[in-house]
Amino acid sequence: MLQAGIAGFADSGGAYAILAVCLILVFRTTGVLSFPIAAVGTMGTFLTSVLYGHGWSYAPAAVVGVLLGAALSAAFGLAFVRWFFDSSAAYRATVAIALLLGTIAVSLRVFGDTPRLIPYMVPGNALTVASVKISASSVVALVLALVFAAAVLQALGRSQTGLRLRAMSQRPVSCELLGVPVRSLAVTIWAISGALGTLALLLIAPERSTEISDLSFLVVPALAAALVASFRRYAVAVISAFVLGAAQGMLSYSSAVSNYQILIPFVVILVLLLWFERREVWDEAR
Amino acid sequence: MVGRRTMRRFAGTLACVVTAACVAACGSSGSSGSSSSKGPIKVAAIASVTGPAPFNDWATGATAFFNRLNKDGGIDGRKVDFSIIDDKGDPTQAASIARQEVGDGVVAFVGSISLSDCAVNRNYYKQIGIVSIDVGSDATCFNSPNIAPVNSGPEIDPLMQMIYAAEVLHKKKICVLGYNVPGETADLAAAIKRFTSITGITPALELTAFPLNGDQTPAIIKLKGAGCQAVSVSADLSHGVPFLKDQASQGLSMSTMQTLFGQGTYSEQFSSAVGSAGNGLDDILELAPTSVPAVSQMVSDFKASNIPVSGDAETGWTAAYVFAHVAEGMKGPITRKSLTAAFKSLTPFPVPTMGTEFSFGTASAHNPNQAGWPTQLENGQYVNQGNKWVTLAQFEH
Repeated sequence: MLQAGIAGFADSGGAYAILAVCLILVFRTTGVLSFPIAAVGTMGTFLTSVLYGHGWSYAPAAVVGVLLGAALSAAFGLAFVRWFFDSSAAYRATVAIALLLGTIAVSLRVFGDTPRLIPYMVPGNALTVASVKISASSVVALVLALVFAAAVLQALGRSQTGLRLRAMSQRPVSCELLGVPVRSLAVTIWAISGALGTLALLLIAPERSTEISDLSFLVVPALAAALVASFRRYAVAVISAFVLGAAQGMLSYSSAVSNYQILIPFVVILVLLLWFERREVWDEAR
Repeated sequence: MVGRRTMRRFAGTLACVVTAACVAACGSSGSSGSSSSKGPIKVAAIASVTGPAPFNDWATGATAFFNRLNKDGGIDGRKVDFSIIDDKGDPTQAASIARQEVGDGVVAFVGSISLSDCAVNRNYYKQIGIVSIDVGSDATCFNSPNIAPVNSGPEIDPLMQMIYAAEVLHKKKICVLGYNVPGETADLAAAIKRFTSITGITPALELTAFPLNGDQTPAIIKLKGAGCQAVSVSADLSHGVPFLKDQASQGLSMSTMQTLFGQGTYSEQFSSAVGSAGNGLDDILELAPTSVPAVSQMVSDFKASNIPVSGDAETGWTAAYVFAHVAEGMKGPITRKSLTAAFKSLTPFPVPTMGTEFSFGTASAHNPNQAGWPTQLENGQYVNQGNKWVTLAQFEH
């Protein structure tokens, strides 16, 4: 079971962590839960796969895929800032869910659902831990997650742009009145998250089922990790993502409970939401 | 004497009665499936083209068959009007579609491949007296007097893989991996039980309900830990690829653990998606490979209809072949009633794509396909191993 946990930690944790950090970044700066992030990443990954299948070498194919992810995500961001900037959180969440489902539908139409050859970004294995071979792509995902989280923390804490982003997350209208380019910053954040989301999918997809819906709903464990971090603390989100991946791996190993490993993120989300609301419930009870 | 007003009232009433009788007669002739002896023969397939476990191109093989049949003049000059209706994996839809199609004059269901058709409709088919030559997706398809699948099914398919591993490859430590697809776990358990009773071998590891949507590395680790010399996997196109890639990446070669898949991974899409990770994979087919001369007509039909050649579509083609063979052999009008009677009195006959004869008859259950054709994947090509069928009858005593 330990080996299965290591496999889950390595194979899934990195991608979950990258997606979780992107989710927090977008939420903190724009107030939107980026449900379509993994679906966008899936589209970019499938485009990479198509180009690779047509004889492109991996690097340019991946660059084009990442650019598609960035562009699509930026388009979503533009839609939000243009039409839903002043809408309520519930309204924006609904729109985000619609974008998730729409992206999946378009992907199915464009790419179909036949299995795809999704090449490894970095082929081969990097190391062996407790007899479990860890792929080089998994190591890249882990490093990228840590670097990305650190970079976000640095940027938010020490740069002028980071200051503006933090201000945006608190008072977007005031910032706009003060001349901060809130809308273009928001679209930029969306684009960055789309690019990184695509990178995350490029790293995890070669070892997963290539069903579009399976890959698109990788946003769920990322949401659970972001929720553990209260959509605030990037380091906690990264740690939670890896723990979640390990837990899924360990549960998959046990025949008695393997059916339920897919429920872990939902249970985490539900428990945390109930916990966060406990004070209100108890206050009302009093 | 009868007055004029009374006569008019009588004539009006008579007209109403005659009209109602006509409407009733026309309606019932539609619902009994006795389409005009000159009009097209209506058949349909209920397929879960979308939904939780989509079977999106299986029934298209029947389309290819009927396209060619109609081009050649149909059956006794009558074209076959074939349609595929998507039930979206929803039992309510499957039930509704069946009734609607019967009401529209369908004489048989051909090539159905659905998550719930057999379970929800088998009693209805028996009650209404209609047959379904389908692609069985769960145990209920193989336990109905009016349904006869052309495939081996979720019990015989893994059973043939296990028997091939034990009796032909002479592996001692056989393992089994199945995914938690609705309706398949019980079939896999039944296959394991039957395998043990035939060979006396108990599998070293049974993972019969592995999560469908997650990372498969934990399964590979478990199989490796159990020392499996062969593993029968109920893989489909999308899960077979990551399984083989994970197997290769964990350093578990085919010579250490021979992996066996079934009909679901026999396709050009699969072989190109899996790449070199698939080299050495044993694929035990429920229906004949497309390279066998006996199925050249099928390959030609697919090409003519622009349908990719795949094991999935071959099932639909086989169902259509069976239907056409029986319908062409009938004397008299082809109606739902006469066709069902023909199937109930059917003498088994060979089918080019099957290893055992197709049979129907009056039994309470039908499972005519009890054979497997071994192939091995090498550099994207499925290479025949032994060039002959392995049948269950060879090993069951």
